[in-house]
Amino acid sequence: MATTLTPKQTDAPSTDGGGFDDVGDGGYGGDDGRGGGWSNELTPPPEGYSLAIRLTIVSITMLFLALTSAYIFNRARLQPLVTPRVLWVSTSFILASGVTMELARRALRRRLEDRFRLWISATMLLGLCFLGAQIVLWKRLVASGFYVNKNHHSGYAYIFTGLHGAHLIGGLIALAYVMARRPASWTAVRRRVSVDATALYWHFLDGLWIYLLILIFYWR
Amino acid sequence: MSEEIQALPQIKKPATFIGKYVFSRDHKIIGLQYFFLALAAALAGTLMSLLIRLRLAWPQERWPLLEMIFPNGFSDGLMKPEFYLAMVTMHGTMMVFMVLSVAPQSAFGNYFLPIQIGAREMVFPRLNMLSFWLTFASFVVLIAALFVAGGAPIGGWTFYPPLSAIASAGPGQGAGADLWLVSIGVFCLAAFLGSINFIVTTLTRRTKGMSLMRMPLTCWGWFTTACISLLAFPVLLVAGLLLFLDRNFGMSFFKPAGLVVTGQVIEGGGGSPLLWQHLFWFFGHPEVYLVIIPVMGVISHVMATFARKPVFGHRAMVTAMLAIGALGFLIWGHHMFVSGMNPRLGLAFSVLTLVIGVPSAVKTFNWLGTLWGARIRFTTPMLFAIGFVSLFVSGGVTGLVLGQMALDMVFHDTYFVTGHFHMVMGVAAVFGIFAATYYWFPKMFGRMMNETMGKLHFWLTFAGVYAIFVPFHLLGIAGHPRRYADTLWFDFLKPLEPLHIFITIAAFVTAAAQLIFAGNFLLSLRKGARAGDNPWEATTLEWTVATPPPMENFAGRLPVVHRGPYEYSTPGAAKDYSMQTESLD
Amino acid sequence: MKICELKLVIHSPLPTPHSPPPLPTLMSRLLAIAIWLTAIVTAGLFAWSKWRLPESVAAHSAMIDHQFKITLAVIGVGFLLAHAALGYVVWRYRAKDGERASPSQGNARVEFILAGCVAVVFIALAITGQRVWARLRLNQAPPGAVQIEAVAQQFVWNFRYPGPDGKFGRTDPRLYRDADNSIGARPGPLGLDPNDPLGKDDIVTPTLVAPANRPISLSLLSKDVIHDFYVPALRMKQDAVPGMKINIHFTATREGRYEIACAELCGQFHHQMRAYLDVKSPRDYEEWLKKNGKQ
Ligand code: HEM
Ligand SMILES: [Cu+2]
Ligand SMILES: [Cu+2]
Repeated sequence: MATTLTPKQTDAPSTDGGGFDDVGDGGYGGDDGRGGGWSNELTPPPEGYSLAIRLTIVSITMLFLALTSAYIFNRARLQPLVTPRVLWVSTSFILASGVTMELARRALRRRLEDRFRLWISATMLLGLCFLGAQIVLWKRLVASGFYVNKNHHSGYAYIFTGLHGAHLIGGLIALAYVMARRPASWTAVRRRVSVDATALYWHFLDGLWIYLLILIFYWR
Repeated sequence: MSEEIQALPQIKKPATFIGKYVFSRDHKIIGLQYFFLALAAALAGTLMSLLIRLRLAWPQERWPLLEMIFPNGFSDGLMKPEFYLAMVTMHGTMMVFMVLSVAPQSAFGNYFLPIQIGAREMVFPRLNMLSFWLTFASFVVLIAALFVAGGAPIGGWTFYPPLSAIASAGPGQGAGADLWLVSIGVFCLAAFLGSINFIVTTLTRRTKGMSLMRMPLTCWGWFTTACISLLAFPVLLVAGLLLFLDRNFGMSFFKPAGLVVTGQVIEGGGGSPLLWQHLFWFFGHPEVYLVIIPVMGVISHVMATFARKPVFGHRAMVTAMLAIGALGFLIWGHHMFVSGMNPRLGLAFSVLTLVIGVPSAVKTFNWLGTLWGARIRFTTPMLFAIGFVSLFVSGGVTGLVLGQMALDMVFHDTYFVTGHFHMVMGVAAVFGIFAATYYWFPKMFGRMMNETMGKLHFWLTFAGVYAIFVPFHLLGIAGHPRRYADTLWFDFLKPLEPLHIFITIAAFVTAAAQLIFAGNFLLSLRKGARAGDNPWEATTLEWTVATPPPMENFAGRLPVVHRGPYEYSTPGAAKDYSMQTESLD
Repeated sequence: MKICELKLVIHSPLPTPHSPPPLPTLMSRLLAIAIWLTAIVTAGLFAWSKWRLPESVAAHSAMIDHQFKITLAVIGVGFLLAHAALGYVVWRYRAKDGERASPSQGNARVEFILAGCVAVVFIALAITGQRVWARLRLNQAPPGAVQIEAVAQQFVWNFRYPGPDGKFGRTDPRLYRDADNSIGARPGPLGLDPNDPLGKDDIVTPTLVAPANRPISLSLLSKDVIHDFYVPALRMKQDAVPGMKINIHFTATREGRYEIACAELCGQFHHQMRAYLDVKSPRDYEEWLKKNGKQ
């Protein structure tokens, strides 16, 4: 078993939370720079949040991949479906929200508290607008006769957009939390990491939407 | 002994009973909650299996007493076939989800992962509490399926549509099937939250000196399993969601056109029953590994302790676990060789299936290697660990028969398959759970379990499971299909009735032997000899803390780790074990 | 709840000194013998018990039975070796006072060699197994095979012959009449369209009648849920999936009456879903066709 305990050089919180080390002598010595402090905290280590969010993203990706395989297996894309114009509205909303999210993150980095709040609120607003646009989308689909059980294509359209929306609501709650929580009640690092994690999730939903848009409405 | 650093701030202790034991955020209490949940489920599942066995051994016997308990399940004292099938479905679901997926991972993992890596808590204690209560809710909903109109679903734990997609396809396929789906969906969420907690805790909460390769193999098992859960359960969730929509919202992802069930044309169409099987088994095969991998970790751990030897090929054990976990995602098709899937696809699945036998064989080999040159102490947990190896081999080798398509065509959906998976997954994992219980009971409850009763329990159970499940294989070879409510209709099944009777008797005896365990458990809780901090003279961190471990485990100071997990019989050392916290000098 | 009390148990301040479990020798002997005995009895039951593969009347079954025997031999050897070794270490390496275990941590070389051997054996099994499958399922029925359709529905099998014209008539789910399933019934349980001339001569029966020693091409269909066409005597099993038409083929070599079962859980009376395979001499078969095809 490993007996060498070479201290690691860095003391930055490692984002992958430790990681694997395949060195033959038993690997990643725990006697590294991280030993100094985090583990006596009672709250999760800041990098725990970002790791948890990444894992969540992996799991959600699996969810949508499974749905995609079902979508392909059912040959849903070959069945008719309309492509309502409002899609462009919702897409613009969510893309814009990605930008404002990023602006909020930058503002926090530069400790511009007011701007941070401004951009986070903008992100939330755009997120809500996106959800509104999605509801309009559903109405359009219904108006064109594509009820949920009209055919597989429409069924999957509702499932995909619905699940995406549900995950987006989770993102909105996270945004509300990082905005509403008093800065004094948590450390700056923790706050920044939480905002970064939320941003990562938000961008993921952003990308996911583009993927779904193409998958459902443009891949024929 | 342990060089202690890092004075820790104290957590505010919950003051009320509810805060301490019900909505607890203490990983140890949550572990125990999971443990007792699994025990309750195991009790329910076992009782169901005994009902199943009654019907199989004596299909024409009348049971008026049972009819008083289950008025809807019997008519004129005869067990109704739909009740039999409901029991089969619920037994499978209960055991696979609520016992085997909960006890090794969520129960023991929650209790011991933080302690073994030198952490005071799981990373997200509140999330942990939430995942337990979701699991509990899932359990309650599943039980509720027994009590709705029509009874529990009859489609088997694999729940193949269209049988499960159409409420009129049979009794129990109505509200019962919906509840089943809800229960499984909630279980998926709980498993997702749990796995996040396990992975993040393992990667960020290890104490000073606890490198990944110094983690005990138990932790590797829990970690690997958490990774598998993270990827597998979302797929089951999707399958369940689509089936729920099929059932309740007029969709037909799994229903082709033109179905006529009990004279009624079913609306909709265009779906495929095979889609469910692909989704289900993409989850289902990893699921069986997600059951066995933490058990493998426990077995290695227990074995090293009582062999007084380091685990043979520690690194190979870790590699094999990860390999099994990864390969497990590529072989789901071996459940579908005769499903109507393209027969050419089967070729790839078949080869990969046999390939996954290789890491399994490596593990077996390493367990034998661990015992080679050992000084074995035959404690009850060790007996169960050795029994596990025997069962794992016995069940594993028949996988090599089923992995070949031509032979699977003969044995698919016969008792041969039932025998295979009961050996390799069912009772092997149960042996792992027993080994873990006997091993850690002193740590969890502060008292030793009675060895004499423990050994008696082992011997009866070991003999019992072989007596039950070897004949399963013989039934299968003789061609007996599984999930048959009786054997009276077929001439080729009639000569097999004596085997059924033998199995049923063996099952009742074995089930009765579990009362010894229950008695031992309860007695030892109150009367067992006081256990010290390290009654087994073991090396890992859980044996450095007080017994039972205090809140936050390490009484204010985190340990520092200097050694690998299994340094037993080191030449030149004063004792035959060196704890992980002992410095190297 | 008990836990609250338990948690309050004051743990003993001194660790209990380890007392090795009593009778190590007896335990080790007993366990080793139990392991060996279990292995021998299990292997013996597989090899010699009276419960074995059912008699078989399919041309391909020798191939399958052979592959099964080889596989059984291979896994039997592995199973016995593993248990022999397990019993051996249990017998040999019990705890003895004052002795220490070997501190060996493994031997990568031995491990690689063993894993390699295992891999070779397993892959060889997979490949030989595939050959059998390929001959059975990856080729078409030979031309001139007898065409038959098997249509499963909850708890009944129906079989349909195309009649002299060699073509199956149209069917329609809305015409299913399960109540009238006499052989000449129209539309009958399969919903034969009475207006389709191709269907006029179709024969629908509850029994699968087949000529001996002629290849049969069977198309499996289902009206409701998944069933599985399972004939132990043919060593054949194939799901009948609604919405799919799955073709299998086989040749039965011996005349007689054999049971057809359903091997995929299909509902309440799954266990009653029986039909017969009647293998007749070619002459009897032709006669049967004539007799039933008239209507
Ligand atoms: C040596 C490695 C193994 C091989 C080659 C193997 C192969 C197979 C095959 C081919 C089947 C499908 C049989 C059929 O339905 O016709 C099967 C079923 C099954 N196996 Fe394994 N297996 C192996 C190990 C395991 C392990 C380790 C577990 C669990 C821990 C397991 C659990 C199961 C279960 C639960 C089923 C049946 C599921 C059902 O139909 O209800 N197997 N196995
Ligand atoms: Cu599998
Ligand atoms: Cu059937």
